[in-house]
Order: sequence, then C-alpha cells, then structure tokens
Amino acid sequence: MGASARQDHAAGGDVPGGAFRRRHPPKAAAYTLLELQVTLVILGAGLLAMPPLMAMQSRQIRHVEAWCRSGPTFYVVSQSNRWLRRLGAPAQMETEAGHSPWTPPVTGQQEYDVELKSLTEDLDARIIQAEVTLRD
Amino acid sequence: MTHPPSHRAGGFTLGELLVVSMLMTGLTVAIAQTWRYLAVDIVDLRTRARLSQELRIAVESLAEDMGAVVGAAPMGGDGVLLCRDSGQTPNGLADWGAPDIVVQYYLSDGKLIRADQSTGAEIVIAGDVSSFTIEDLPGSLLRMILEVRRRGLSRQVTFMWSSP
Repeated sequence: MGASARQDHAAGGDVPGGAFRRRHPPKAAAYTLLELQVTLVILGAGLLAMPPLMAMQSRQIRHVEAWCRSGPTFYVVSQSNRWLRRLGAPAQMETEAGHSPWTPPVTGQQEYDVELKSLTEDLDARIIQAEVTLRD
Repeated sequence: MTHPPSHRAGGFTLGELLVVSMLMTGLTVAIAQTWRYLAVDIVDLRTRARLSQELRIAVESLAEDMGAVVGAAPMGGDGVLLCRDSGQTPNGLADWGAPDIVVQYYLSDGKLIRADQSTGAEIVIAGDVSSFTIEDLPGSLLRMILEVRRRGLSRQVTFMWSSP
C-alpha cells in the first residue's frame, strides 16, 4: 500500500461513498473526580457554616424577645399634662408599680390659658410644631 | 499464538456500587437527622421573633393612645374603649365624644383591631392574638392582658392603667 492509500484510509477514504468516518468515538461528557471533589468540598463548607449562623440567630432572637419572655406587666402612666396629651405624647410604660411618672419636658410656674392654633406633626423627623396663643 | 488485547469495560462493579450505595445512604440519613433539628430550630426562632414583633407593635400602639387617655371602659370582656383628651382646649375630662377622640381596641378573628370611632378608620395592630382580656378592678384600675400564640408558643403582656 502506498502513501496515497494510507492517507485515504486515515481520512476515511475507504468507506463506500466517500463518507467521513471518525476512527475514535467521541469522548462521553462527564465530570472528573477533581470536579466532584471540589463540589463536595464547597457543599461541605456551606453545611458547616450553617450551625454557627443558627447559633448567632438564636442568640439575637433571645435578646430581642427578652422583654416579653417572662410575661411582663406594664404600669401605664398617661400624661398628666393636658398639653402633652393634646400633642400626642405616648404613655410611659413603667415595669414596676409605684414609680414616679415620667417628668414631662415642659416647665414653668405660670399656668396659662392656652389656645391651640395649629399643629404640624412630622413623625419621621420626630418634630411636632404647635402654634398657640397664651392668655394670663 | 496471539491473544486479542483484553481491556476492562469502563464502569463500576456490583461490589463498588453496593459500597457506594451504603455510604450514600448512611450519609443521607446523618444529614437528614441533623437538618431535622436545624429545621425545627429555624421554625421555633421564626415563631418567637414573630410573637415578639406582634407584642411589641401592640405595646407601642397602646402606649401611643394611652398617653392622652382620660377615660377607659371595658367592652364585653375582650375589648376596651379609650377616650383621648383632644380639642382646641383639652379639658382633662372624658367626654366620650367630640372633641375627644374615642378609640376602640377589640379582638376579632385572632387579630387585635384598633378602631378610631371619630374617623371610622380600623387597622390591625397585631395578629396571632389568642386572647385580649379586660378587667375592671376596684380603685379605677383597669387590667388588660394580651396574649399571642403561634405554633404552640405563647407570650403574654399585662397592662395596668389607672385614671390620671
């Protein structure tokens, strides 16, 4: 067999009709052992990271619910100052009976007759603006 | 005499498959056992956080309303009427009508509802509420007990209020 004939055989030239025929079947697509090992290591690391996260979350939730876990009793102290009531100041929630009510941040010796003209509340900025008229 | 080249077929033997199957089964069971406890823990944490959140919102809402309250009256055992002092010149008396604002808290279908009777607006304050008990005590004292319950866990808060 000459060189020309060997070339024809290698290129599939001996197949009737001249159709191309590969001499080796295609390699089956599959994962290598290394790829599988890397995947398992990543999966294992992810699983190992879960318990510490759970423990941290558990601690945080225990801290968050500490105020209500023991079934607390709140002694509700409504505002005694009528203008603080009008301005919507919240009640003081005492956790022990007999505590002094919250001292309102309004001072002054003179008691005026006050008429409310306008009231603007900006709850985001925690600002309440009131326009009033004072009379002796 | 020549022998044809013998090459082993690419694949696992039955013994290898059996060993791998046993190992995989053992590993799966171990992981499932671990995750069973973790899953219970996750549900438990979510429930506790939810209950704490519902109670906190209820407490804040009641504190907001009760700051201006000059009168409170139980309503059927699982509701309360609050009279908030209001108007251009607050008089410090419970008028139970304009210019005072009357707010009603009541339990409905596991929800604590806040109804503003002057505007007709109703909002849900808290869910998972199992009971909202109002007791009128001697000495102008009012006791409100709010309990939330979810998935077998419960939390409770008690409010004691007296006329200012």
